[in-house]
Parts: sequence; structure tokens; C-alpha cells
Amino acid sequence: MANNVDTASKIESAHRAGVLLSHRPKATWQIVGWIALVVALAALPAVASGYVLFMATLVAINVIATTGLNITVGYAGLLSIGHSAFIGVGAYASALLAIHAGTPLIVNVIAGAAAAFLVGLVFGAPSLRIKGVFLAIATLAAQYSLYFVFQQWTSVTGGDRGLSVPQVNILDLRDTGFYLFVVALAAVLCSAARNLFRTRVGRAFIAVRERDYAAEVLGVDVVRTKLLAFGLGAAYAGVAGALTGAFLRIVNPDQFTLLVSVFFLAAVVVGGQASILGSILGAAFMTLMPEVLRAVLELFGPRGTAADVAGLLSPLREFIFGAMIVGFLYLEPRGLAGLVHRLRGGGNLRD
Amino acid sequence: MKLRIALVASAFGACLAAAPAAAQDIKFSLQLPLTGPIAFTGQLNQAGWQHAIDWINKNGGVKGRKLDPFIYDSEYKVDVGIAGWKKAIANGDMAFSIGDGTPFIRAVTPENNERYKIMMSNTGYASDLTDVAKYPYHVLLGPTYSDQIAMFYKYIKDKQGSGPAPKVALVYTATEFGRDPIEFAKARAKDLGIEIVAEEETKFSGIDVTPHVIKLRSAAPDYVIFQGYAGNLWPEMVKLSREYGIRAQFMGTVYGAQADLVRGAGPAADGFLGIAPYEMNVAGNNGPIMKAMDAALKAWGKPYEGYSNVGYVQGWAIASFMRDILGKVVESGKAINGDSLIAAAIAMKDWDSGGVIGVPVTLARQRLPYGIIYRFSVKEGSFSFKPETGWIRVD
Amino acid sequence: MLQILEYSLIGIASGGIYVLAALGFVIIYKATSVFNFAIGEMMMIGAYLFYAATAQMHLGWLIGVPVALAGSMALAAGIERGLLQPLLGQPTIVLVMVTFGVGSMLRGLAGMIWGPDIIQLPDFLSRKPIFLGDILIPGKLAWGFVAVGALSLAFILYYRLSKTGIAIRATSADQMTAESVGINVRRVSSLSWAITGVLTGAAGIVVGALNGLTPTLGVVALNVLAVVMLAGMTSVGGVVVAGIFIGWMETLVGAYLGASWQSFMPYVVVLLVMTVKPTGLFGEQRIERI
Repeated sequence: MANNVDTASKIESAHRAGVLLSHRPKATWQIVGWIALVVALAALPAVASGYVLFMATLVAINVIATTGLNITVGYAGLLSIGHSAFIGVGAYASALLAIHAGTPLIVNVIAGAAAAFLVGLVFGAPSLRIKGVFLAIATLAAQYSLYFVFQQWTSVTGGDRGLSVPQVNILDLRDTGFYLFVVALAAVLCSAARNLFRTRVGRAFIAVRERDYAAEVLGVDVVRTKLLAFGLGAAYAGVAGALTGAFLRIVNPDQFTLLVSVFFLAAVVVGGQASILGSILGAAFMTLMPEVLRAVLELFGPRGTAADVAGLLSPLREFIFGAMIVGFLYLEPRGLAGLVHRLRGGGNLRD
Repeated sequence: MKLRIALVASAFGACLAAAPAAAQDIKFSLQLPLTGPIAFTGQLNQAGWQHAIDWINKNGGVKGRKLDPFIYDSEYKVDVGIAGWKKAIANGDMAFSIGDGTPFIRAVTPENNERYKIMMSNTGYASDLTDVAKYPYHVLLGPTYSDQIAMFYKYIKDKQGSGPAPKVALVYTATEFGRDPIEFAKARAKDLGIEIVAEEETKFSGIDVTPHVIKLRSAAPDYVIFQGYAGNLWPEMVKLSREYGIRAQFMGTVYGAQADLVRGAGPAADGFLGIAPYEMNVAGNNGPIMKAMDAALKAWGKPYEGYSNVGYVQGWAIASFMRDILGKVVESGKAINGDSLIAAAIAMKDWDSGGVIGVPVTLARQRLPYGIIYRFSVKEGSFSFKPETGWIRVD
Repeated sequence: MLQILEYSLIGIASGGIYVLAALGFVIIYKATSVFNFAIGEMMMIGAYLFYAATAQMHLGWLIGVPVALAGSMALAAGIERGLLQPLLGQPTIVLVMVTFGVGSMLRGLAGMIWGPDIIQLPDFLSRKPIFLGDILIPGKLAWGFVAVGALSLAFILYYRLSKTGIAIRATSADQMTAESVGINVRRVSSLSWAITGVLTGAAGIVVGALNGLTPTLGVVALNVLAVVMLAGMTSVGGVVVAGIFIGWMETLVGAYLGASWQSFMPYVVVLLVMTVKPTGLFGEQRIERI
């Protein structure tokens, strides 16, 4: 229980630090905030248990995947419900490299991203001529087709039993090394995404979302932009997949189901669409919520009744999950990021 | 904020430091799928464990030391299971770990082999777990799915005698556990001269089974083996098969042959044959563990008619096995760890399970390849099952 | 050959359910442009309401069916009133996500009330098989198809001939014009959801009777989405053809290729069709305008 609070509070403080950054006039506070954040994240392994470190690493991986989905869904307005399939492509590609070529993690991660990017393009292509929910169905097709490939191509993917991934030991620091690597990568990818939307390419994503035709008139190549947005989201998913495989040390088809895609979609909505801060908050929230719920129920339920409580817990989680999506869309369409913004008394600033 | 982190951390450190002093209890972790697709059996499993632990602790524990479980709902998801496992490790002094299903074991085994070396068991009966080189710290308290198929084949061959080659249909779910023994089943059938006339893969739940039954009808098997079911699909298939006039003998492996499930299928399932790794008729069994189980089931307050289901009995079976090998390790004065526990488990010859398994059993490739085939009698208003065979051992 | 015929008949019979649920989907889409991902969960709730009325309250199926359908209709109307009307005018993605959330809530609710175990609905459809020469069709499936077919037909007639149907079609063609000729667009929206509640409730009861009932019964609706996409979102006639086609294909794929192929084949077909004809087989051009 204490562990959960510990992580949550750290993440909370990390986010506060991140928020500070967007506030231009207080540049010194920004720097202080950043330093505090870095110190907090770097110091975590020293004070945290293996469990807290595990959850923190999981959050960081999920932040990468959520940021990717947010690029596709939030920024470019292309609804994807096949995100986990691309996570799977990255996971398999990188696991296969690790097993057969023994390449270092960073190479595997890049390969995972590239593979997911390419596969993303293949499934994104039909969406070029169609909009919105049609793409959703194309991504559903990706979800099922890729799952099928993962499961049936036994000679390569290991079928149902999956692949056992070799250990990654960065600087001989084991879990700590992996955690630091993932957090650093998440930071790099988040700031890359953030900066992307200050460039022409990134702004084109938003233009496409807001109005296809207008964007076209303004000289944006809509087809290419959409494809890029979709592929980029998939590439982030690929990175997350590569990390997941190396982290859990197993890659099997059941890790990449539709439910996982919906999980990330919810993370985007709850965190805040078209917001990097939102992706971070959403991923952390969605990953930690079940653990917190579990701890809360453990507090209330006396020992030994866990089975009876568990029967209620799963549907309750599902209900809360749905209610949160609806609630956020209804009350705060900009999600947790919008909430943070409002709490800080911000106006209509876009993240 | 920082202050709080420091406080929490120091409190946590203090707990860790204080832990060994109070280590009278033997701590272990139970990652069970209390929610998710196999929640039904996970929850029964937990009840079995809980009752068994209570009973063991009341009756002297392990040489006076109590068993203290850390229970975690793994939702039958690998990452959640590992999270719970890490949490249990972080709590310190974990003597052994009973984990979720086979995917979880596959995921944590490399790290466990290299680093933690904790003894494990799990709720599934996957065939690859007998690969001792790969899973040196795992013990499976029962026959694998492949073993169960071998038992059915043995039964079929005995029954058929010198008659024509028996015709068998394999019907299994499109799941990791459903497909588990199928390769083996096909190869072994060839060796034994059993003809596989149909191989039907179905979804796990929520489909119309008619096409599969049509297939069965045209294949005209003597025996139909259901593998990897835990829901209402095979009962539907059996009902429909009867309507289609299929006269085959239906049989099912462990989770698909749970008494409550067969009972729910109604009279169409009359004569169904099911494999169990443990004795399922609890009332009337004179083994001390079975007597304790009977008392616990009576006291539980849930409907109880003298029999139980796999998940529940499995909890008791593993708990009493662990009690016995922990006892051996404590007696020998060795430290309780994965190596000493596994050594004790392997050294345990002709283990007396207190009635849970009808014969004295010995591990072979770190699993117990024993099972019993029950025949179910399901009539309007009456339900029972009796051993069709004695306890079967396969290699 | 006979076997293919047998599979085909069964496949067509099971496609009937897709048609019914897909009609419910299309009607909402036409009236309100909402892409309803909660369609499967609406089916599931309908089936549970039926279970509650018959097995738990012992009303008998003749009363149970109307009670369940009325409940399902009320629920659908409630969702529309409470959750969707306030959000009308928001981007498509928001509305889609809302239906996602609603689906999850309904699943959770059903799980909390009725638990995760598989429930066998009372056998209200006769199990007695029907013989067509050498071909045998299970009674439940045949009667389910009859019920579903009759309801689909009734709905299509209603949709073509009644004032409400015309209003929905008018709204779908052009909301502004519809409003200007005195059609209450809000009422049309509510009505379309209510009608869908009835259709999905009925489809859910039949699915539950055939396959058993759990809170995850709604996953069959993933195939309904494929049907709708194949048909082209707005075509009522197209849905009938596409629904039967998907049911037929699914059965044949399951029979000859195995269950692993079943989930993704409908989507592969949809993907192929969309690559050639993005609006679906019978879709109208206007979709690209959104």
C-alpha cells in the first residue's frame, strides 16, 4: 500500500515538475522543476522496492505507447483501435533479433520501431481515402490479422507459448539499469513528440485533424501526412513493444489483444488528447489505478475474503474504466492534462 | 513530498530489516487468476488453499511454523502476475511461489533460474513444464495435458482389445492450453494404432457449435476427447451431438471434466468420462487430508454434496505437498530455499497424499503423472460419478 | 457437397442475428451519425434482462421477451438522453469514445449484478431438430432465425413505410432540410436509439439462447461491425446481404479452416473491400464528407 502511494506521489511530483516547464515567465522555476524531476526519477531505484521499480518501469513503457497513440488519435485525429498489434510487432521483431542475433537492446528497440512503422503503413494505407471510424475498422483488421500471425506462425513466433527473451543487463545494474534506460528513452521520445508539433510536419497533423480539405488547400499533403501520423504512432508502439518484451522476458500473442488496445485508447482519453503531458498522466493513471483499487479493497476487505472481493473487483474495474472515459469526455474533454491546467489557473493554453 | 518519500523509504527499510527476526512464519506467494477468463477455477483454487492453510496451521503447521500466504489476483495476465510476484519478493523471505497459469511460469522462469531461485508450482497442466532443464524450479502436482491424453488412449486401447482401430476425434479450444497436447496426441495415436478421424478447433466460448457437431457426425468417431474447455461449449456440443444421433463416447480432460460443469450439461452428459488428477469424491474418503477437506467444505456454507472441483482440491493437494517437503527441509536443518525444496521434492518417494491421490506417488520429471478416469451419471434429479478405472500412471 | 449445403444453411441462420444487430447499428448511424461501439453490450444487457425476467422472476418467456425488450429500449433511450444528446455536435471521435465507455460500463454492471459465470438461458426455443431431407438443422438455430428474420422484416417495413422511418431517412439525407420541413431531429435521435434498443435486445436474447450468456456476450458485435462496414454503414438492404454473407463465411471458415481463422476473416474481407471500394459494398458517397 505504502509502495503505491510512494510511486503515485513521485509521479505526481514529476508531473508537477513537467507542468512547470510550460510556464514561460518562471524560467528559473522551470529549471528547478526539471532538476527535481530528474533527481526524483534517478533516485527512485535507490529507495524503491523491486515491486515499485517494476511498476515505475511499466508506467514508463506505457507512457511511450500512449504518446504514440496520442500522436495518431489525439493530434492527427485518426482513430486507431489496433495499437496493441503494433506493440506486438515491435515486441516480436526485437525479441527475434535479441534471440537470434544477440544484438544490444538499443538496436532491438530501433528495429522494433522500424518494423512496427512499416506494418503500420501497410494497415494505414486503406485509411488514406477514408476517414474516422473507417480507419478504426482497418485497425481492427490489423488487430486480428496480426494476432493471428503471432499465434500461427509457430516456427518464428513460437506460437501460443511465445518467445523467451534473453536478459538485458545494462551497465550490470539489472532492474535499475533497465528502469533508467526506459525512463530516459521515454523522456527523449516525449520531448521529441512535443517538439514535433512545433514543426511544420507536426502542425500538418493537426491541420489534417481539424479539416482535411482546408489543410489540402493550405498545401498540406493530406495522404502523406495521415500515413506518417499513423506510422509514427505505430513506431512508438513498436518501441514500447520491444521494451515490454525485454522487460517481461516473454512475448506471446495474448499480450497483444484488443483489450490492450482499448486500454491505451482510454489512457489517451483520460490523460488528454493531443497532449504529451496528458499521455504521461493517462498512462500513469491507467497503469496504477488497478493497483490502487486493489490496495483500497484490501484495506476494506478483511483478510481471507479476497476471493469474494475479487469476484466484484473485476467488473467494478470495468465499470469505473468506462465511467471515467465517459466522465472525462463529458466534464473535461482535455482529460487529466486539462484538469492540471485548470488547477493551475491556466486559461485556454494548448499544451 | 521528498520528505514523505524519505519517510516511506525508511519505514520500508525498517520493515525489511525487522523481517528476519520475526520469520517464524513461512511466507509464500499465491498469484491466482481470481478475475478474468478462468476466474471460476481461480476462486475455487483460492478457497482450497485458504482452507488447507487454516487446517495445516491449526494442526501443527510445518514443524510448528505457520504458513503465511501473500495472495494476489493476477487476472490471468502475465504482467499483472509478475507485478504481484515482485511485490511478494519485495516483502521478503518468500519460501515458494504458486503462480497463476503456465504463461506466468514461462515468463518468470528465466529470471527465477538466474536470480531468485524460488520453487514454484502453478494452476495449469501444460506439457512443456516437464522440460526439467528449462524449468528446474517448477513442480507440477499432477499429469500434464499430454499425460491425460495418454491416459485416455490407454483406456481406449484396453477397451478396444483386439478389435478394429478405435476412431478418435480431438476437439479442443483455440487457446494456449487447448492446443497444448494436440501435437503429442496425434503422434501418439499413430504409434498406438488409433485413428484420428476429426480434429476440431473451436473458440473458447460464445459461438454456435453446430458446424463442429456436423463435422463430428460425418467423422463418426467412437470416442470424442474434449481438451481445454472450462465453459458451456462442450456441454452444448454433447447435447447437440445427441440430437444429431452421434453415439460416440465423450470424454474430457481436467478442467473440462469438473463435476459442476458435467452436472450443468444435464442428462445429455450421462456416461461422460472425465480425467481428474485428484480424488473428487470427498465425502466417504478416509484419507486424513480428505477428511479435513470434507469438514472444511461442510463448514464453508456453500452448497456441498460430497464432491468438489479441480481448483479446490488442487489447492489442498499442493498445500499438503508443500507442508511435507518443507517439513523435510526443516528437519534436515537446511535453509529453506528453491534448491533445498526441489531436492526434497525429488527425493520424496511414494508420497502419501492423505487420500488426495489414491496411490502413493513419486515425481517423474518434476510432475506427478497420475490420474483417474471417472464416469459420470447425470439423470434428471440425480448426479454422481464413480471411478471407471483405477489410478493410472503414465510415463 | 451436401455438407457444404448444410454448413451454408447453418451459416445463413447464424447470419440472421448479425443482420438484426447491424440494423440497429445502421439506424442510429443514419439518424445521429454516431458510430455505436456499445452495440454488443446492448445485446448483452437485453439477454440478461430476459434472464432476469424468466429465470429469476419466473415470468415465463411470453412475458419475459416483451419485458426484456422494453427494458432494453428504455436503457438505450436513457443512454441517448443522458450521455449522447449533451455531446451532440462534438467531433466523431468523442462520440465514438463515449460509446466505448458506455460499453465498458454496461459490461461492468452486468458482471457486478450477475457474475462472470456462463448462464444457460431457459430453453424457450424448441431444441427439436428440423430435418430437410438429409440435412438437419438444430431447432434452436432454426427458430432463432425465424424470430430474428420476422423482426428484421417488421423493422424494415416500419422503416420504409412509417412516418418515423421517413423522418429518420430524411434526417440522414440532410439534417438541415429535415429540420426545416418540421422534423424534430432530437426526437428522431431518441427514437432511433429506442428502436435500436429493441433490435439489439432481441438479437441478444437469441445469441444468449444459442451460445450461453456471459458479460462478454458483446464480443459477437465485433462481427456486426464488420457487417456494417462491409455493407457501407448506411444501407439497410446492404446490411441484410452483408450480415448473411458474414454469417455464412464465418461458419464455413470455422468448419474448414478452424477457429483461429474465424475472428479475423471477416475483417480481412472488409479490408479488401474497403481497399477497392472505400464506402463499402452498398455505401453512399456522402460518407467521405464527414
